[in-house]
Amino acid sequence: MTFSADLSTATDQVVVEQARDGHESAYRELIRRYQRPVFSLIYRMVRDRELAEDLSQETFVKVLNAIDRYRPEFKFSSWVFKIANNAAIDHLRRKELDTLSLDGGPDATTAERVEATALQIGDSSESPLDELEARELGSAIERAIGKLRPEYQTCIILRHVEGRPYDEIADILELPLGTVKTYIHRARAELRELLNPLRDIL
Amino acid sequence: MNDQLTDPGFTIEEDPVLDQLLASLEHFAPAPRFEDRVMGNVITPAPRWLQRVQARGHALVQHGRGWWFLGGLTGVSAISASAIVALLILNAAAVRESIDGTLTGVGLPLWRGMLGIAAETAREIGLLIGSVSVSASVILAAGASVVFVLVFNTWAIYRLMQPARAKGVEFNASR
Repeated sequence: MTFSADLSTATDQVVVEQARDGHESAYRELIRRYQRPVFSLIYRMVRDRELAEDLSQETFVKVLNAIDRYRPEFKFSSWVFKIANNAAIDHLRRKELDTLSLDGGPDATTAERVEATALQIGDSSESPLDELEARELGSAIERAIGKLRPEYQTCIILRHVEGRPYDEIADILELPLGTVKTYIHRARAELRELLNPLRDIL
Repeated sequence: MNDQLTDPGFTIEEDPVLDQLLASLEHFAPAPRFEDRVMGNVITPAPRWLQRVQARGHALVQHGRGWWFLGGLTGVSAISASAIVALLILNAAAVRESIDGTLTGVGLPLWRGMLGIAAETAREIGLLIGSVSVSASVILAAGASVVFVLVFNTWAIYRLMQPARAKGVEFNASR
């Protein structure tokens, strides 16, 4: 498995091996695989597209420049998400914010800034009405997630959006497995409460 | 999604509606050319075989055995060169005869052929220049332009190399 054509179907470990051998195509493959999940995680946490781009870029540069120090006994995805999560959390800490604003980014202090940093929900619906409903629904869920504590948010996004197993989330967040389960349990309870009005339209 | 927890007495309640809502969340994508922007800041390592050679060379020098290795290599080269020279001197007559034969048989016709081509080319160029009527000042200006372009290109290449070198040093220093 040494040719770039095979990389799209290769496991992360194989692609990382190729990257360590100095193949640029392997580096690009790793970016292609993780750019959306990493960007989504960071964007949902910082609520600022430009900032999320910068932090995602910083994450990948850190990961790829340290690829020789990666230990294959750990999951590559855990390592990437750990660095991405730390980048977002570090930023939030630097901003000295403990909670996120409901609609806009955590550092949005004016109405314009709130609007600019609100998550931009895309859609693929067919009719304008469906489109509107989907947008409203998507925004409502995003708003509800935005109301959670940052650690709950990360857990919920990794578990329910990225589909990561509990033990991997525990690795990423460097928390005991039981704590991760508790966080997810509490986050789900809060979300259930917040999204209760939406149940009627589903 | 099975959210039964392994901890005794601790279960995450199943809620299909909530799961459906969360599953409907989209994956956001970064702006186009994100991959290229990342790669612009990544230093790809040298191929593995080169890393191994470098590491071995480094280890040899670090352990003091490198000098023995390099000395040995130089010694072998010197002995080989001396042996070849001695062989040639001892068989000087035969070597001379062989060279003469090669020159007469292959070298001389080849040389004559090349001279013929060069003479023909020079004659054609002379005729071409003779057919063009330009003043001395035009030729002088053309010559000056050629010199200027040459100097300008050299300067431009030098300038282009400057930022790249500076960036590399800065990046390495910050790591």
